[in-house]
Formats: sequence, C-alpha cells, structure tokens
Amino acid sequence: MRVPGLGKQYLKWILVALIVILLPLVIRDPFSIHIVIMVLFMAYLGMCWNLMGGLAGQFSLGHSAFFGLGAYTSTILFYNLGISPLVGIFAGGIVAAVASLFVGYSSLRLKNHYFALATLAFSQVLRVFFVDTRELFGLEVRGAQGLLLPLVGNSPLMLQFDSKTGYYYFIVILVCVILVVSKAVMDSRLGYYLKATRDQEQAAECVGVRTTRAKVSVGAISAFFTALGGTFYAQFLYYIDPGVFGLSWGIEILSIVIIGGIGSFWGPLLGAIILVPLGEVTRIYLSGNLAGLHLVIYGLVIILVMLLIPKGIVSLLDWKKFIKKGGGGDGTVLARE
Amino acid sequence: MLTQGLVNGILMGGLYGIAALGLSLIYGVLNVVNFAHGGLLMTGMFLGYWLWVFTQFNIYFILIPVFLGLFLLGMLIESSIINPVLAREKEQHVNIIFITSGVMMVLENLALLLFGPEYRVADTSVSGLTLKMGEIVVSTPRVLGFILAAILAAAVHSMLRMTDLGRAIRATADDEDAAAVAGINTRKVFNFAFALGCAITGVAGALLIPIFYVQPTVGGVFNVKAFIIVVLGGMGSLNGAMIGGLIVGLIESLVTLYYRNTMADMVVFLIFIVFLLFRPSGLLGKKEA
Repeated sequence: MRVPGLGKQYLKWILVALIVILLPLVIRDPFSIHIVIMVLFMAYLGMCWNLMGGLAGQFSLGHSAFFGLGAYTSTILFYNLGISPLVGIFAGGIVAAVASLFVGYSSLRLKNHYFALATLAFSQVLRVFFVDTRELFGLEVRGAQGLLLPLVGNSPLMLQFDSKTGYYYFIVILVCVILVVSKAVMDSRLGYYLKATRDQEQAAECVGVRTTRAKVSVGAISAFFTALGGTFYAQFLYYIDPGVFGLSWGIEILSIVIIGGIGSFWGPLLGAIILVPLGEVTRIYLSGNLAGLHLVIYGLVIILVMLLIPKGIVSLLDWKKFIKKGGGGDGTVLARE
Repeated sequence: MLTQGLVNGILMGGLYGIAALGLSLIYGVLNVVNFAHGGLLMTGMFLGYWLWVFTQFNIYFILIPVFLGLFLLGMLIESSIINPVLAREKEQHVNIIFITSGVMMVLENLALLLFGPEYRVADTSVSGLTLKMGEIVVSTPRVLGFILAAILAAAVHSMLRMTDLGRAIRATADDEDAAAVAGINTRKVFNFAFALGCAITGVAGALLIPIFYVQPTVGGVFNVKAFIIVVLGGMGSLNGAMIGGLIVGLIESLVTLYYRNTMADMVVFLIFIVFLLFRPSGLLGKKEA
C-alpha cells in the first residue's frame, strides 16, 4: 500500500480527489456529514499519534496534552486578543512542539509503560493546571468553566464556517497534510533512524543513530500536528474546557489506531471508519435509557480486536501477505516497508 | 491544625495504599499494568453498596462477599482476556494496556448504563460518626477503614511470606521460567495473583463506601491515583504501595489544609513526574527501568 506518488497511478488518485472534493454535494444531510467529519478528525489524530506510536514505537498515553495545548492556545488568542485562529493554529502547534521537546528529553529514556505513565502524568498536570487557572499572563482562561468561542459568522479567515461543509474541507486539508507529512517522514533519513531504533535500539546506536534525538524529533512533529487537530476541534465545537486534556481522549485516539492497525499507513483511517460511526450512531439512537452503551460496545470491540487480530483490521485486508503466509497477515506496512 | 491534618492524611493514606495494593501485586507477578484497576475498584464499591442496600448488614460484614465476588471476576478476566494475550506475547506487554483499557471502558459504562450517573451516598451505621482523641477529631469509618486496610495488607504480606502458595507467587514474580522448571504451575499462579489483586481492590472500594460517593466514574479518579502511588512506592512492591499511599494521603491532606484542594492534585502529579524521571523504580522497587 503506497501513498500517492506521481507515477502511473495518478489517474486513480485524481478520481479519489474528485470524490473527496465532491462528497459534500452528495451527502447533504447534516448528521451524515457530521459523522464524516468526525471520522476524518479522529483518523487525523490517529495518524498524528501513529508517527510517535507506530513509527517510533513510543506509546504515548498523553497526546491529549498536545491536543489541549493546541485548542487552548488558538482559543485564548482568539478570545482575548481577537487573533485569527488561522494564526493561532500554528501558534498552538509551536507551543505543543516545544512542550513535547520538554516531555521527550525528560521521559523518552523510560521504557514501555513507564513512558506511557509519564506522558499520562504530563497531560493530567496540564488538565489540573487549566482547571485551576482563571487568568494566564492577563488573558482570560476561565478555569473549569471553559471558553466559549466568539461567533463571527461565516469567515474562512477566522476558520469559522456557517455550514458543516466548511469544516469538512478544513479537516480534509489537515488529513491530506498529515498523509504527506507521514510519507515524507517515513521516507526520510529520520524515518529509517526511527525504524532502526524501534526494532533494535542498541544496534541502531551502535551504527551511529542518535536514537533519543530521532525520537524527540518525531515527537515534536507528532505534537505539532496533534495541536492543529486541537484547534480544529475548538473551532468545530465553539467551546472548550479542561476536559480536552482528559485521559479519555488519549485512550480514544489510541483505540482507533490499534483497531485499525498500529504503524500502518491507512490503519487510523480504517479504525476511525469503523469506530466513529459505531459510536455516533449508537449515541444518537440509543441515548436516554441506554446512554453509555456505545462506550460499552467500543470497549468490547477493543478487547475482541486485541484478542483476535492484534495487528489490527488492516492486517485482514492485506490479502497478498495473507495468502503468502497462509493466514494472519502482517498489517504493519509502515513498520516493515 | 497540623496534627489534625497529619492524622487525616495518614488515615486516608492507608486507604489509598490498599486501593493501590492490588495494582502493584498484579504488576509484580504478571508484569502487567492493569488499566482496568479503577473499574474494578468501582465494581467493588457498587457490589458492596447494593449488598448493603438490600441486606442492610453491617458494611464491614459485606467486605467478605465483595472479596469473593471480585476474586471470581478477576479469575474470569484473567483466564478469558489477559492470559491469551500474555501467552501470545512474551516480551511486549503494551497490548495489555489497551485490552485492560477496554475492560475499564466496559465496566465503567456498564455501570453507567445500569445505575445511571447519580451520586449515591450510603448512609451506613458508621457514616458521620466521629472519634475524639484529645484535640483531634477523626471520622470513625476512616479509622476503621485504616485498621482493616492495615490488617488486609498484613494478611497478604504474611500469606506471601509463609504459605506455599505465597512462595510460588513470589518465585513466579522473580523468574517465571525458573519457577516453571521447579514445578510451579505459573499459569495458575498468574490467575490466582490477578484474582487476588482484583479482590483486594474490590475490598478497598467497599471500605470507601461510608466516606466516598458511589458513582460509575469514581474508578477514573482512583485509576490515576493508584498509578501514582504504585510508581512512588515502586512498581511491584506491596510495602511500597502502602508507603506510596501514605505519602499521597499526607500530601493531599497538608496541601489542602494550607493551600487549596485543586493544588493538591497538581503537587501529587508533579512529585509523580519527578519520581518517574529520577527514580522510576520508586522508593522500594527493584531497579529495572
């Protein structure tokens, strides 16, 4: 599964592009387009996480920290100073990337679950901090109350749209960017360093790979783009509170990647296509007495996938390898390519 | 003021310790970080609460059925979910994080589904009672909870030291392969240790009933807290879990006393990060990270 190069296949990709661009003309019902947006949004976050978790093999449970920093940075600037989120989105990305350097240099030497717990702790410190902070450098943050974004109507320069279609194109652009970035990182020197580090850290060090530097670099890239997703979320919902730093976000992002297939290029998209509609539809149709059922199903799906197809659903679709190996298949395309 | 704060901190710390003990036991033996821990604690709380509501027995008598119930639940979870993954992946236990997170989601939302998001408070025969010791006033359920927590911790400790089963558990925790060669059925030891960890966690939940609200998302609060406590004390160390619990209890009580409530969480998290960075093996843990 290769990502679009400009080879013979470009016709196919033009077709895909056309479908993506024209989709809102076909799907006009706001609920359906909402689901499409959420699928793309969660896939986007999953792809950002995948750079860190799949390519570098560093399982962060605290990506909600970067997500939240992005959401809060652009929103604080917009709310207090009227700075357009178009600028704020990049400011948020930079704040998150800097934060990730701090987290990375301090905790990347920790192994497996210690690293996971450290990232979780960082995100929770931020959550408690934002719950407890009413003002930061004279700018209103409003603590646990959260911030309501000022409405400016349909204004692409302020990243606000009066219809869901605007947000659809916004998230499509983000997804395209992260796909290109993922591909670029994978094919770069950094990508090879990371694969070497993940598979055999000591061997990589022996041949001169600066493993910590490689991991911290990809962590910063991952954090930067996760933060862009945070701004999207704030713009889409017009409201944020310290819940954006919550542990559940971190877990939800990983669930999508895991169910799709860790380290695989299309895994997060596949995971999101399966999980998000499941969640949204059960949430809508089974609300009331059965509120919470969608998360029960979500949890069961995670357990079943982990038990039965640990490489994710992508591995089921990988027919060539499936036939060659006579079963199982190896979904870690990005990992093993 | 200060003595009062210290006493409250120690009493709460004992309960925190017992609430984290099961997590540490499971980690020590199975080398698995159980992200469903808080959900199991919540399950113990609800089980205890409903038993109390329907039978009106003394809340401390109810600890026994809660222990047994959670033990069975633990056996079931281990044999159906944890063990297949452990058997498949000897080295990498990262997938266990996700699978236990899945268990957590199921437990928490099942409780939400069945019991709704209401905050329930059990007005047990001991709730609201206080003991006066000189100038210090302490709540009776906290004292009783602390004493029972200490007894339970001591019982687990001596079980591990003195019985054959305990020795088998410690041998398996030390070196799984060597224990298997020596004729220990490590598969059964894993199952028992996980179930015991769940049972202790359930009892901890039941001990909290008279002093805490009973609600489906209460597990999340204790999940993160238990991780912190276990890392502070040293992952896999039972004494460490109790000491970590006392430390967290004292910090919370003193910061709340002199500053404010929300700051207490912050301070605890920062200490947690400092420990992770400079001494990830904790106060009493084996050097490994």
